[in-house]
Amino acid sequence: MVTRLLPQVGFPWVMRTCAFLFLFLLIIAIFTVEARTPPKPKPWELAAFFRPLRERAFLLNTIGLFCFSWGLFVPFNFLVLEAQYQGVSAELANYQIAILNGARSALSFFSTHLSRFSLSPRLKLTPRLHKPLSLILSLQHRRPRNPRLARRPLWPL
Amino acid sequence: MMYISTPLYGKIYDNHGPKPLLYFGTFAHVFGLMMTSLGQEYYQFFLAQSICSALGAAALFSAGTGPIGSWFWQNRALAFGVVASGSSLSGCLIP
Repeated sequence: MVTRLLPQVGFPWVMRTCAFLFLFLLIIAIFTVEARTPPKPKPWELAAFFRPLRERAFLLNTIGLFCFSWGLFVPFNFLVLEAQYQGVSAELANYQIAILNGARSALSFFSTHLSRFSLSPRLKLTPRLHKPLSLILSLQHRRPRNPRLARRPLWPL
Repeated sequence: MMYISTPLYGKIYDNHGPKPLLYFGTFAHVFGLMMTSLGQEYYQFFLAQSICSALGAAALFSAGTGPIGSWFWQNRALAFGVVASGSSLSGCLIP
């Protein structure tokens, strides 16, 4: 939408259009999103933010998510530039971000059957191809100490 | 910026529910986008879009993924997958 509107109306009105679209959808969300259980206010405690890091599983999970976000930062920001450098046409290059998000959405929809926790797709750029987009699945391995916590087996990948 | 503020939003969600996060997130995100449209200099773009809009988006994300745990017990992973695919689908339609 943004790329179609940009040459027609200019950047300021494109951002305003996006803002109005978000506002309309968010007003719907404000009326529909509710929590099922009423909240129980507890006092604020700075140590509570760091206490889960003492558990090994949570610490590994945090480090893994950090690496995942850091790794995905570069492709998201430079995918279009890289595609144009490799010779992809300008219109298709602008679509790469949309393709990336589309593939990510499809993958996360199917993620329930593939891992116990959640699926995080990792992007691998292959600059030799004309469409530098191929996704590799990466599982977050979690080995619980208590065997009763294991709900279903990991898929071999 | 989004990831740093998420623990704070999680604590607010535990204390007060999703409504405060929704109000603040809506206002901040839309305000940030509107200010981006009015920006002339680079630092104005950075302030408006990266900080204000991102804070609002993180609040909305926390408010969106928080209730999944309370509404779904058996198909919780599927519900989370649908929400995550929705967020990236929006990035697909509005790049």
